[in-house]
Amino acid sequence: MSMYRQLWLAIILSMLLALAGSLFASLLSARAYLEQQLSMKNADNASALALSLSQQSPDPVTAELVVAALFDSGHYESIRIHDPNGKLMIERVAPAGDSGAPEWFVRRVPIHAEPGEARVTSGWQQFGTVILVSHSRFAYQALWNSTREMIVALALASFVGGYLGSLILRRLRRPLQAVIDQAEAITEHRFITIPEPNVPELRRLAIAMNVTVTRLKAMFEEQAARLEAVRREANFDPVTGLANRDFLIARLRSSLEGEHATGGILFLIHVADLMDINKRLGREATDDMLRRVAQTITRNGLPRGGVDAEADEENLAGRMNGADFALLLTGQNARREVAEPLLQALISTLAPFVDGGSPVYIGMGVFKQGTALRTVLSQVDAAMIAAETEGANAVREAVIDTDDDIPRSADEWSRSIRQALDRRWLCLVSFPVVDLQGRLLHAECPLRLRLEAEGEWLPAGRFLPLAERLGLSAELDLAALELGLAELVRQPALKGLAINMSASSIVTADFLQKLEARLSKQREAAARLWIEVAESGALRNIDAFRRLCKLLASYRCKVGVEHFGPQFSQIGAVHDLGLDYIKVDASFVRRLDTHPGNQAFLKGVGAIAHGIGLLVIAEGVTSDAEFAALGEIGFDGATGPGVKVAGIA
Amino acid sequence: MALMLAQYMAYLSPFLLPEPSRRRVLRGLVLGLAASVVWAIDFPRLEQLLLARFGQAPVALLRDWQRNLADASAASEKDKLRKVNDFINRRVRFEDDLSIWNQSEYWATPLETIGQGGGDCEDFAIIKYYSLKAAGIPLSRLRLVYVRARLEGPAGPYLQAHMVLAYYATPNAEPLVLDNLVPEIRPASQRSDLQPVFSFNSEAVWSGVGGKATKGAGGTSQLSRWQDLLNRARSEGVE
Repeated sequence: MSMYRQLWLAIILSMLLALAGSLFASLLSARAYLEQQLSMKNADNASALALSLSQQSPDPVTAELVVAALFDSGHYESIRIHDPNGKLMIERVAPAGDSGAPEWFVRRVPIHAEPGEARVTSGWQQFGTVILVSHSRFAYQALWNSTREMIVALALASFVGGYLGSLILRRLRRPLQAVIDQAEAITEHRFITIPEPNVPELRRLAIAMNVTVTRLKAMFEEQAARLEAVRREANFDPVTGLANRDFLIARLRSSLEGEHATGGILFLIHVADLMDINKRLGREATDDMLRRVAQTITRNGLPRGGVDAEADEENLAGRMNGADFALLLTGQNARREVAEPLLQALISTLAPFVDGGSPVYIGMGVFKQGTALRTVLSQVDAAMIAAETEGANAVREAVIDTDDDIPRSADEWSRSIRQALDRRWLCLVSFPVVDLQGRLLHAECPLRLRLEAEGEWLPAGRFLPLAERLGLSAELDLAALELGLAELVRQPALKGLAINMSASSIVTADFLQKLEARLSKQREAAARLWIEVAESGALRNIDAFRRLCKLLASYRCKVGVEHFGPQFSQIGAVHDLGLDYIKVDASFVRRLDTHPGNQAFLKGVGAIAHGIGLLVIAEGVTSDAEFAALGEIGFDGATGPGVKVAGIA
Repeated sequence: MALMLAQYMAYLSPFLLPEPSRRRVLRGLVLGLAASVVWAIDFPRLEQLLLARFGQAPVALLRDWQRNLADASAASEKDKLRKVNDFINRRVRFEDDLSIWNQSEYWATPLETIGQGGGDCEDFAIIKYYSLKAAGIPLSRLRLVYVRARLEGPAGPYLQAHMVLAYYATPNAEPLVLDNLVPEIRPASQRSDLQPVFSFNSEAVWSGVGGKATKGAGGTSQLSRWQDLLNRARSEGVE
């Protein structure tokens, strides 16, 4: 039985006991008092009658008259006179009548009054003994009335008591509920702290839980910090702090391949005569110079505060090798105009270190999604060499791809996307996400869109960034959700289906309501739905993401973060979200079997994630070797071009 | 219980002992039996209370009273009356309540009467009542009676309120009057100076809350004077 109900029962029972007890006690004491009074009356009346009879030296007739007179004019039940030998001489008995109180009451609470006895003498002769019993009707009436009044009064008191009890219970209920909610949240891997209640017992409990949660958080943060160090070491150049070659290539690859590839611009920057500078200025000064170069590239090359902050984070500055730096700008925001100012800034940075000549060359190339990596690298490299051979500080651009049959202006894009939405020129493509035994965990289904009736299906990377800038991403995400739910309904055996949502959708005003409206219509399918948001978007809009997680949890959808890893140091923020899984970014998974640094990093990520109760899935797995490496570091699943469902060719 | 045992022993013993001592043993046992009947009065306790309240002086009277009672127990009913009446009349002084107790009206228990060595007419009647009860006379034969007494005074006869003890051999008989005004016991017809008003004894007295057998728990204010006396005597060890 619920604790509150038990408490209520206890309160009610104890009050009933107290009231019944007091009612009983007062009833008994009232009865005792009435009995006493009646007995005294009996004794006194008997004495008075005996005295008055004795004065008259009575004979039986006189005695009978006196008895009759007294009986008829008084409140008596019986008056008897026995002769000295005990024989009954005179008797008057009242007829049985209304006893003034209900029959059952008279039976349950009888009033026994002692009959009064007194001696009657006639001169010196013993005449007899008077035995007199007063009528107890009035006593019963008084008792019954007082009992009734007492019941009413006690019932009132009990109502007041009950009301006070309920107030107290209510005051207790709130802090207790808060503690219970916290405990439940912890089981759902949401580590929240609550304010300490006033009640001492609950306060101790809340303090203990809060301390535990804080310690857990601190532990995670500590682990996270350590792992962050591992990550930096694995993926970043120690001297300049820029991304190392592997990481940059991986990032370049992800903007070329896959559904969410957006294309971009690659700049290769060459610092001339590095060996000379090294010989002339020494190691330390050279390192210092390189650091300044890195700073300049970062400051001037990476755009900040742009409209599309999510795409900005995909930009990367890196150091390819000793003298070569790279700048990767992804997405539609990439502007080739960055090159010239960057060149000038670099020249002025390097001025103190070189003695004339042209110290820096830049080669750049704009590439679209779908181009081969080798092509991009070789073309941009060639451009850079061409710039170098020109002799002066220069920028050279490579020409990489040619197809250009996609509308360019924002208005045209807006119209096209809206048309696609209206005509439902949308579909989902399915990529399997498997566990390490090869069984299907869920199907990841990004959205594809076509701009004409029979046009080619454009992957998300081509239209989604634009849609976000045009404010249409919310509608696209909702459309994807509807398609996903329909597919789940169509395939009842499908274990799960994952839909991507962009950060700009979840911060849209009534997005959550519309989302809920669709989920509530398909509850059964909703329970097999997996929703994921990119790490950068989720962390940047953590409050909106928290609300999304709460909503999805109530429909039993699974929530996850994809492209996880670059902002790993913020893992502390995901504690109280109630996430179900994370998908680690492909850049960390690439060639995992040959990358011990990333292996260590991902192993740590897996441990932490499992500690919070998250599934850990790797993105962008391309080879069996990578798959095997995932098994060794304890991941739960993988997806990517090299992943197939076991048993299906 | 012990009473029954003693009676049984008294019955058996003559047959267990040799001839010459039989009579002596008998008498001793009968006396002992009588003494056991006088167990209605707790003499050791009385003596203790007497010493505490009144000092050493009345102890002799108490012991004499005890002997008198034992003596009376063994006698016939008429003799009981005479022995008790004579003893009390001789050994107890007649004084009024005001001089003894400093109260206009006070009914003394037997202990108090013995302790003071004196009492008024009610006290005489009361102590005789208890004595006769202890000596073995059934209560149904005893009555305390309020009477109007006509006394001879220097200025002529006058009337006075008085109390006597009356003994009824049978319920319908003429009673014998035990009085302190007239030392010998006379039948009521021979006591024309007394006019009875009201009579009572302790048989049919409601003793307050709790019924007949227990003490009144409602406080002395709820007890009549007679009930109060009965309770006080009981508490002193005189049933």
